[in-house]
Amino acid sequence: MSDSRKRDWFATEDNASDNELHNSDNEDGVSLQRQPVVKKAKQIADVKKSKRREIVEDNEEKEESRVTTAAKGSNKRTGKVDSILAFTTKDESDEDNDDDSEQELSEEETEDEEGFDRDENPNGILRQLSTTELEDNRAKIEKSGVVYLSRIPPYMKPAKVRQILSRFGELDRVFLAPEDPKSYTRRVRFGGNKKRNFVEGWVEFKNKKKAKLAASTLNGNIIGGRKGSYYYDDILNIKYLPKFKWHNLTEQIAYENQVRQAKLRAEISQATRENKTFIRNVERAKMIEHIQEKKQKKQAKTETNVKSESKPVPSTGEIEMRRNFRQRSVVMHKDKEEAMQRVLKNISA
Amino acid sequence: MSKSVPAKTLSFEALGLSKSLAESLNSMAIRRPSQIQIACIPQILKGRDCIGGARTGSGKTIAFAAPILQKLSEDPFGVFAVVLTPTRELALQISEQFAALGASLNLKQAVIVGGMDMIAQALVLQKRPHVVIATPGRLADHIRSSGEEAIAGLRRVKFLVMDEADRLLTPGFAEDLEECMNVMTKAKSRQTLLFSATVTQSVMQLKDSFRHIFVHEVPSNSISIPGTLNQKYLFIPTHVREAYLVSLLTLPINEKKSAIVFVNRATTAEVLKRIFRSMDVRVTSLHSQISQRERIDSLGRFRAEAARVLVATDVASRGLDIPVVQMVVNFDIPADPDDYIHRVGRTARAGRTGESIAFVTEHDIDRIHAIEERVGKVMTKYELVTESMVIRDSLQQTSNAKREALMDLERENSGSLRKKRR
Repeated sequence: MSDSRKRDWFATEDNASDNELHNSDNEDGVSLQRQPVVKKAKQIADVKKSKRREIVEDNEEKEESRVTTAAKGSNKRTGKVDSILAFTTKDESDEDNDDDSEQELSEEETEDEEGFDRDENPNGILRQLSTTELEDNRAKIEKSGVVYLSRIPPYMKPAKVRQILSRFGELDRVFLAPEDPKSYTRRVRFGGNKKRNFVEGWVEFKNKKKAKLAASTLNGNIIGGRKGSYYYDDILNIKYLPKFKWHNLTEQIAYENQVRQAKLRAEISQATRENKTFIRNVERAKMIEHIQEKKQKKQAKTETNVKSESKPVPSTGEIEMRRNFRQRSVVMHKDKEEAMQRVLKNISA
Repeated sequence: MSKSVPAKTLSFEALGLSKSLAESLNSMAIRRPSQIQIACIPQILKGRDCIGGARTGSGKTIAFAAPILQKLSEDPFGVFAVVLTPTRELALQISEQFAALGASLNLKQAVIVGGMDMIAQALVLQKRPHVVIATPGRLADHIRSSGEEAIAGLRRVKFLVMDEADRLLTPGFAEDLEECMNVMTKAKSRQTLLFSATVTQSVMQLKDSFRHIFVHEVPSNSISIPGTLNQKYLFIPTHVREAYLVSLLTLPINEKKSAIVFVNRATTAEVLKRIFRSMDVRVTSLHSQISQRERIDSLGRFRAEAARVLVATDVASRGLDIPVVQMVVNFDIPADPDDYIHRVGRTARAGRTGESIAFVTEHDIDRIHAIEERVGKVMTKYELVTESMVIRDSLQQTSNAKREALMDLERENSGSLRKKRR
């Protein structure tokens, strides 16, 4: 449920793979909060990496190769995309490979969850990019810049934001964080505006020079335009985020998702083990039953042959007690009566 | 049930009810009075106190609602009657029945239960409705904090009804009950009516403390569950219960049936709900850890058969009258045998047939023995769900769904459902 809600909140214009942004990020949160997570992810990834004997030439390159492939496939994708842009953490863990491959191969319906490896599967759609392409892509990211809007004028939609900012240069992605659903319902309940409101936003420029220019020009100024227009007098608060790229926004969520996936996988394997034990026990019980049945038949036969009335049959009725289970408590009738007596006494008194 | 009625001619009018009441009962498709109604209605009309014990689904609510309305029509005033119930949903249900019965009387009533706006309730109370249907906690709250204006009406109450009396008289309700009783008229000048399917010895002992009290008893223990109920059990290990449950409710025979699954904890109810949801079973849940609005919604959904399975804790175990329920599953075995009686009493109501299945695990053997002793019947094994079926169809799927549900729950509210409230 929460996932779908998250999707609803989503307000980016281009459906790039960034659809799992926290809307709780605040101005410093974006740049500061990330650091420990990245570090942690790096540590985990490092440990995992050491276990694998994969030849990783240049992690950075690899990560970016994924970015491009992802970007190519991005228009096909909807729903939960494991924000591929977020893998700055150089993690080459199995999960990532799986996730990516699953998405890429979804048309072929590969249900092979485990052990899919890019190296073993050269025909997979995830192909390595050529060095020039990689270089291009890297340069593109290097060149891009992100600005932060600490406040969005009331009910302004992403399209309008895009329109205002694209004056300065080509934009890539826009994300506006929607308001708290609670405050929305409260407003609507008291007869307020039913339009969606946004609280803050991030915009990616293809060229960071343009981003800087936009920020310095618009910051603290009215939006202007036509005199009578709705947003004419609204002031923008816009800041260029130095040394900040779009993927920094999504990495926390990507990391959390990844952790969750791993945990779920562990849980399920545990469940599978338990189920196997149950199945084994069921089989064993059947076997024992069968043996006992046979024994009984045999005994019955011999008895009819001998026709001795010495002993009653000592079988099936007596089941060997292997284990005693602790029994849950039962409410005794007497205790209940006593309690009720007390209540009655209090009430009548 | 009409079998037990001795004379065919016996009608509600013959019991002393007015014609208009008999007509509105008729329009509710209640034409012949049940045993408890035959026994209690004339006595209550005579002005006697009453303890009514009859098995689940035998028409106890009408047995007290009809005479109260009759008396009210003779002398309508302020707060005439107070009905106390242990659960909010039951209070709402009783209020619906009062509304249906009293439509011709222009009856005004108030439902005073928790989880709803208290100020609005206080305002309604100030207007002196004829009948107040309440849970003890919220009524006591009003008595403490809503001021004399709101509770003045309560001081002249003519009738006090305790539905599910044996539950109301437990220590959990004691303090609030005491508070309510202190405000109301003394026992001498009002009529007190106690009803339950499981009338206990202590309730019976009230005989001494009330004036000429009339007692309609459950003849013996075995009658406290309806004869049309088919009781079964499944003896299975704890950790595969979910898989069995899914298999059970998706059997071709049961696929169309409405069922209530009773559990002992709210968290279990939530987990089961999620498991069923992932299996595409139309499910809803009712427990104390969801908001009152959700509680009412989910009960309404189940009533209207928009949901086929209701996963509930003991809040749904008493009094709720949902005719469509054909099956009750005890996913957990209750510690108190009386609770079991009330739970399975949600099906096989008013002469219909019903089925109950108890999931007995290795830890519940003592409990099941206690229940069998209390009920006076031995359950038989449910044969339609086999191990191989469970292993083949539902085991792995269900356990995966369960793990996922547990993880989601943990993430959403860090372990406890409490935070979800409000």
